[in-house]
Amino acid sequence: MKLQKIREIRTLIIRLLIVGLIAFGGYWIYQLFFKGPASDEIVLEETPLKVEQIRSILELNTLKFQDEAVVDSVEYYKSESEVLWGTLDKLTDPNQFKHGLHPNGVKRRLTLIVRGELLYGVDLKRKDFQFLPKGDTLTIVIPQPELLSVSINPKGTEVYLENGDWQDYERAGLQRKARNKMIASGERLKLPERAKAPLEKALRTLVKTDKTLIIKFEN
Amino acid sequence: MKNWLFLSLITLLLTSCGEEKEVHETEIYEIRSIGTLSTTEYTLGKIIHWNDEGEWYTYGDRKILLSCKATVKAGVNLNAIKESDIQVDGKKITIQLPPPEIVSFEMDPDLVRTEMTDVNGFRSDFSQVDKSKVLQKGEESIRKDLQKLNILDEAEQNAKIFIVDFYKNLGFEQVIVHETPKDKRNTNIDH
Repeated sequence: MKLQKIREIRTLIIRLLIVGLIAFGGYWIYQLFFKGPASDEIVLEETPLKVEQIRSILELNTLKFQDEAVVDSVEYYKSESEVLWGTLDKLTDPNQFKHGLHPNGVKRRLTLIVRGELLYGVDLKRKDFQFLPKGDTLTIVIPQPELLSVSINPKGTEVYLENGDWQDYERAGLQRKARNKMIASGERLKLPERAKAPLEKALRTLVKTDKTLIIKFEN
Repeated sequence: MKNWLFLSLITLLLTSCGEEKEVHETEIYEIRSIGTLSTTEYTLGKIIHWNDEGEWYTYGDRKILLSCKATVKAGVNLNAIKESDIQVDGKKITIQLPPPEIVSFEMDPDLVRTEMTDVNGFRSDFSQVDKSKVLQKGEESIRKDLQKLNILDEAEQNAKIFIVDFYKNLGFEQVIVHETPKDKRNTNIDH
């Protein structure tokens, strides 16, 4: 009698476990295949866009340069004990676990791939045009082209590798480094010089004259 | 022995997944000639707010507030002016202005700040990868909201003033500038 009761309880527990497993499996399959990828999507709360300043500017952009730079910052462990504790720390963090499996002496590493856009041209607000008509010629004197803006945005910034904890100012520092690299690339390619030709072209589009047009750049 | 073999296999599997693709040092993408006159600059501020409730198998949630600033310049592309768009009649000139457009969009990384984070349950802190994804969404949101601002109208008006002054300096007495109808504008601000 007692044995019979134990058997019944055991059967009940097994059945309950099977029902539980089926329910869990069903829920898991639903989440995995039928709920769709929406749960992975970042949905921001609605917040207003604040206009802080409106400014009238006068910039003639004549050259656009799109560049990409890889910037990296690495920090190594200084002692054996640091390696041990650091690796253990990483192994207990789900985000850093994979780095803990490769204790290659790297304490922290942040690598960014940054895409940016540089605009060259002239700021006409700072230095005015000069129109010098003389006989059959019209001379326009314009300032030398310069770098007017460098656009480095979140959409163009990819965190390629993040090993260890990194602060915002450190990421911003790397982005500044990428910006400087792009400016250096522009200078190496002599882009301010190359921005002169399209500037001339833009002006010749606007100026319709019977006179001979001469466009000069300020020294 | 069996356990040792099993552990070796697991380790081999985990380590073989850690391969990373090669990246290039610096790559030149494109140098393009343009002739765009930027006439209006807006400085915008936005608080990016994300409440991460996590997946169904995670316990706890995470909240983050980031503040950022964006500088947007708008203007008109002078190179789009065709020969037929300019008509000269003695001291009178008529010009058809190309549609205004967003020339540059800049979110200075130095002006991005994490104002607040709140992590509870078994969730991990926000990494730079997480913050980067949130900021990308924030950028998308700002670009979308730009359509509600008057930036393109103002850019067009300021370009008109420049064109009038430019031709008056050249000696024209009457300058007529025609704008592009609003329905013919390029509304793609995600350039």
